[in-house]
Amino acid sequence: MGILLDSIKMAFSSLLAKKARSFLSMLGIVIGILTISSLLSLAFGVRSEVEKTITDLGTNLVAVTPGKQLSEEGGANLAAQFGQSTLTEEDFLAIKAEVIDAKKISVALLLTGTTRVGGTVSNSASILAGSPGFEEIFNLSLDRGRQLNQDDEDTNARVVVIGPKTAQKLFPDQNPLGKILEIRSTEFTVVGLFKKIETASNIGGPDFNDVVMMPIHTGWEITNTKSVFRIAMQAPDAESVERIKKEVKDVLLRTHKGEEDFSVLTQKDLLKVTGGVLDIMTALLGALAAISLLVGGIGIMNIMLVSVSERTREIGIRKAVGATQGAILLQFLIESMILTLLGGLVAISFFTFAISLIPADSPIPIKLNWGVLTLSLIFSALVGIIFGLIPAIGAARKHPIDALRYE
Amino acid sequence: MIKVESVSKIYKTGDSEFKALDNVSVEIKKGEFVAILGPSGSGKSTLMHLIGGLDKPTKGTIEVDGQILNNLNDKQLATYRNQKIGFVFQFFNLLQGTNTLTNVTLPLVYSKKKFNRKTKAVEILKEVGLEHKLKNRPNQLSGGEQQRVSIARALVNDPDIILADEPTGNLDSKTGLQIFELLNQLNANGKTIILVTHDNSLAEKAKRIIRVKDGGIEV
Ligand SMILES: Nc1ncnc2c1ncn2[C@@H]1O[C@H](COP(=O)(O)OP(=O)(O)OP(=O)(O)O)[C@@H](O)[C@H]1O
Ligand SMILES: [Mg+2]
Repeated sequence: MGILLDSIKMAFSSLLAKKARSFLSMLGIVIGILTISSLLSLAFGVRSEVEKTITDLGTNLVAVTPGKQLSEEGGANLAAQFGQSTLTEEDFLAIKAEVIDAKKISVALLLTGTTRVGGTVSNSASILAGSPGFEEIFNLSLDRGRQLNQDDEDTNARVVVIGPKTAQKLFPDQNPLGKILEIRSTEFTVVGLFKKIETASNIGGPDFNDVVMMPIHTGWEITNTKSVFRIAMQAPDAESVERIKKEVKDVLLRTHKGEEDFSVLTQKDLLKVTGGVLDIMTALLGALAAISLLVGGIGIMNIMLVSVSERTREIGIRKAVGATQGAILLQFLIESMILTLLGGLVAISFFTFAISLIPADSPIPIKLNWGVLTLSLIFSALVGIIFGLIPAIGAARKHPIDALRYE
Repeated sequence: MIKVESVSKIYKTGDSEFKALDNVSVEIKKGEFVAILGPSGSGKSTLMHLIGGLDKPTKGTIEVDGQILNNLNDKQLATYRNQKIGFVFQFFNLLQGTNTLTNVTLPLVYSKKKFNRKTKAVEILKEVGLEHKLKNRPNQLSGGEQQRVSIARALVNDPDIILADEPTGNLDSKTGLQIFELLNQLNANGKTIILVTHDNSLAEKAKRIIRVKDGGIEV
């Protein structure tokens, strides 16, 4: 114990004796730890953002999407998002008839095209056609006007409800209700305006802030198809989500004659899919950060090797007065560890400070995470030990006589 | 009691071998003051290093107070150097950039004895007349003062044996004499002193002279 305290004292005094050099080699670690803590925080930030988005979608959601979204290993098949939809009205009606206790079974179609008002064109707005209930499932509440209803659907009404972003673009600073917009050369009357949704994006689906939604029958009429982009429903409670999922799957397997060219997803599945993608992202960011820390570590090793060689005589003197190999090893290891730990401390203080400067409403999903800070400190100490070990062993093994004679 | 028995030390440099000590046997009793005289390159320092446990003989055994040094491992040798031996070198070998007090207390860092380090160091620095230079670094001290610091360092752990390898070699004759008197004083207090010197007049003041030539002892 005594020797540990002495080693720490000796380490500080020899680091202070070479201030510029200690500072510069520490800088490498500061940069490495800064990279680690910011990239990991970013990864965790994105993850919690995505998870929040998915839970915000609604409760006990079961959704059917075209294509096979989940591969057999549980990974994501992103290609399934694109291409011709394999779902039809028939599927929707079959589910409605057979999956009795599912609620708010609704259907949506995604149209291609642009929305225009006079000379103003919006390319970004997603054009959706949906049956009543869809807006409830996805928690789309109204800012003003009314939702689409059964009447609109039965009469193939040319009416739309639009998102706040779309409204701002097409009708800047005006009340959009009663205004006319044009999609595929057909005129629609705006009857409702959705409330702004705070969650940034909707994984695998449209941004509901920038959306134009018409009745599903209207959509089928103007596209001349009966295809379906999504069938969504709500299970009566959390326990029945998996059972509903199974029932829907059985119905669809029958209507699709045994071919599983669709996916039935729950929020849990979505979390799994995005989790897989996020794991890859986290690993990549981690690898990037590790490289930067490796460079810092090599700097530490280099400086420690120089230091050991310069202090050969000191090592000889210490051995002559009774230092064991272990004592010398400990001294140099502690020295490199203090160097990297200080670097880590500087880095996380700087990082904490920088994070505090980011405004609360910033779109960067980066938050202070104690786990990341602790991990960063552990990493910095580990780098000191790992990269200080070879120089320290070299110091400990020096022969006392050779060391004393060293010029 | 130090017993050197048929000790040889061979240095290997590349392919060539050099016999620095050739079948040397000598005994030094507790409390003796021995001067070792001999031409440069005759093996005096080599002998000191072997007795001090800084190196091991190629052949023969070295026994100090019943302990056979050949059999000790690194840790035991370190303890032996720390507890039994005080080294004084020609070129002082003080830690540069470190003050008198820290230099003197250095052996205590590696000792298990629970002294109050500062009290002990100051007490010994008083004996060598340097208690007023506690905060000076080696480059702020004269050669004679540096050598007295290194003697204080050799004494701080209360060793039985002081090995002084040409401690006066870098000092003028007056200062050298002071250092010698200091060693003589320590001998009067019961320490065994082994002093390597080229100075005949100093050697003659010691109780016994051992003459070394070409790796052997002249009787
Ligand atoms: N590490 C070594 N490798 C090879 N040869 C060595 C080594 N150390 C010492 N020698 C040789 O051993 C011989 C004895 O050296 P040593 O230092 O013991 O002499 P010395 O009597 O102390 O001389 P001086 O009075 O000049 O200090 C010398 O010839 C020297 O060249
Ligand atoms: Mg010599």
